[in-house]
Amino acid sequence: MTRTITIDPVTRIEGHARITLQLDAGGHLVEARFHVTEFRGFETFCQGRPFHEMAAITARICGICPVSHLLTSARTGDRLLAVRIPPAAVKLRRLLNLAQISQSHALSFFHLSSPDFLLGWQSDPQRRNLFGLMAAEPELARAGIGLRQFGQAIIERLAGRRIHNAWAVPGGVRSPLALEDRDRILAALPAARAAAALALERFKRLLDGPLQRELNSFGTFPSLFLALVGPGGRWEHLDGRGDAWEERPAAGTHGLVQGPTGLQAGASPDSLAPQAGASSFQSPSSSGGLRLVAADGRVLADGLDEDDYPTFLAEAVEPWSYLKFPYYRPLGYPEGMYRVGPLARLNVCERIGTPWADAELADLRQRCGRVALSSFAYHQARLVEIVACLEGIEALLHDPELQDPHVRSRASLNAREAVGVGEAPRGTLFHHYRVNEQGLITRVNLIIATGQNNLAMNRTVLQIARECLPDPVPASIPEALLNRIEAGIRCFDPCLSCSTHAAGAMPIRLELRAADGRLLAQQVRD
Amino acid sequence: MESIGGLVVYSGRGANSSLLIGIGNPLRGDDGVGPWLVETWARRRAWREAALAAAQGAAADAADGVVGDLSAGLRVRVVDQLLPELAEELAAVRRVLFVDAWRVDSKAGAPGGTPLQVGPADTGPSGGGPLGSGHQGSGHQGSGHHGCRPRLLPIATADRRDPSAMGWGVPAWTPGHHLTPPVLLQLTAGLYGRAPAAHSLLIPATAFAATDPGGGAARFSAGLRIQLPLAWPLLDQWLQQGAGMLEHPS
Repeated sequence: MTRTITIDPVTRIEGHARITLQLDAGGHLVEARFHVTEFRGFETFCQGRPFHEMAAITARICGICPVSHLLTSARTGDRLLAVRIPPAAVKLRRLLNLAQISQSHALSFFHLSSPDFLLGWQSDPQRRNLFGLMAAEPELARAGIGLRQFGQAIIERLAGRRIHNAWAVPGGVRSPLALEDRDRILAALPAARAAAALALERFKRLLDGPLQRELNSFGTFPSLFLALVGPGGRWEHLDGRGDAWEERPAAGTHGLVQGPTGLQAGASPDSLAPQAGASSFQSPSSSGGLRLVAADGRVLADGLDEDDYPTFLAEAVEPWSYLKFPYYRPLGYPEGMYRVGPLARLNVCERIGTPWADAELADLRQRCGRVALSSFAYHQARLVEIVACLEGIEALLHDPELQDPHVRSRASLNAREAVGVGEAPRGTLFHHYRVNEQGLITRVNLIIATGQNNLAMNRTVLQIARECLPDPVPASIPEALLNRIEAGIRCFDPCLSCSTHAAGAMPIRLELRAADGRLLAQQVRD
Repeated sequence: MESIGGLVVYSGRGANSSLLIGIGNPLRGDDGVGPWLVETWARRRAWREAALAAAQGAAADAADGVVGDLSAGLRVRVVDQLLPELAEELAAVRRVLFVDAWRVDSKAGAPGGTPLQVGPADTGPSGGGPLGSGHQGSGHQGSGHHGCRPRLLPIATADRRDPSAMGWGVPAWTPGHHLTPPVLLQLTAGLYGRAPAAHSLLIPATAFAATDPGGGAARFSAGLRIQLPLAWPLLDQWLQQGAGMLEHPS
């Protein structure tokens, strides 16, 4: 008789989900699934709205990632207007995105995940939270709060409010940064840097010791990695080619390893050997854009244009989840599994380009190899990116161009279809709009970072369950083991509100089910 | 006060520093009453101050990343939900008022649950009785919807020391991203060694469907609109009582 074990819902993530572990008649683990159980259908109710409203509308997908949607939507709007936005606006948007990434990563690391590391997998679940962290590591808890506050305050100073602002618009941004606000942010930087340094020092000590096993084996498997890179393969977070998108070759004429005709569904994996147009880490030639890297470090595709995303990305659907399963089209489903987010960004880039962050990137690579395959490495990657964000923020704040009052270009509708891409904290984000002659939305497609990690999250759950659970799996599973399986999902810091286009928080339920669906046993943790 | 980054040291406006927090989602009908109330109050106050400043030939202070930064040392903030980051800001003031919608059951004509963000703080041992005239006992009691009026309630200090003793009906730490006021206060005291004296102003609310946030008070349910005139005196009462508040012992 086969059984199903269900963890429902998964805790300390954004959204509603459950995990099921399928056992065969002998009680051996055969399958693991991460089910997303919420749905909102955001794309549909955007239809009929003016395109210039889309930045403010899509920012309301959730309260965690509004800035990412705001910026990517504004970017898509830029392309519908066919305008080059003012240099100051480019830099202000970049400043906003760096603030968003740093505060979101701080939330994930300090509030949601670090209780597992610092208090221990076996610790009392009632204390495995920010309060437990406060008691055990008050300095670190304050550091986390300080870093969150730092990023959020920048967002507030730039955009007027921390969430659901409408500051970025097609053509630029609504207002410049006041000199007084710039100085206040600069004054707060030393404390933010100290907080990041403290977290890195503490976490690396754990990686050298009790977390070594997790780093080696927690969701460790080969996959592809996708992210934006800047010119020369530099770490990028907003637009791989800066504001010079109109200077790019026409859509479909460069980037894909298969050439300008694009990639067809069902293309042979053999065709993915490095070809003309592909680069390697040893001889970076990228002019920026989307880059896809294989587990062995080969650059499979470089300079991918977001306009061409349907040629290299496809989305599969499974009846057991509302979250789609994007995959790299040439490899097919599910072999085209790829990961996005902080680990992917660090795996695909050559360097970050700022001294402290590059030193921390070197540390990550020294621990995990040139391409880190462990999902657990996402946590260190977040800390590295926090450093990159702080250094980037500082550099931008010292840029005199940031004070230019010209922050918005105005134009009427000049294109009927556009794709915008950006790097959200959780990974690459695509917005694709079609509009009619009045500029009203006729079609929307949003490809969210969490969705793109869906296949990898499922693989991570399976791999950790195989690693941690006894074989055969007993009817009663200790909470600590359940927590480790859940923690595999938290590596990805999923935002299901965005990815199913919904909101909520979640306790945990585990069920054992017979092959005929009968409930054999259940464990619930509210 | 410099509120961003790092570990705040209050450098603000003296011993009477206060924080007024409106909690709620302006897009969800009555849930937006907290933000609406404090924003409306701040606007009116700012107009008066601007007029006074103009009369005196002085410029009013600029806002510091919040809705208002008023000359009496009062800061105003609106939030969709309470997040841990607010602990830093709470640690820097002497007292705080959380203004929030309080869900009541319109069909049964009685309070149907706990406030959306704030609990039945009047049950705390050291806070004394509620200050609102419509008080009917704990948050779970009451004499029906018509008798359920806005309430100004102290958040008892004992509640902050031990979340398990709060009786809030919610876990001390919810698994998502938001906190209840007493939990936030306890976090503040635990991390920074101090927390402000705290009250909640709760406004009975029944309708939470999506609404246009630009609709002003007209977007609220008829029942809530009737209660609004009763909320203003409670807000004024709290503002006037600053000097009498006790600071939470660290």
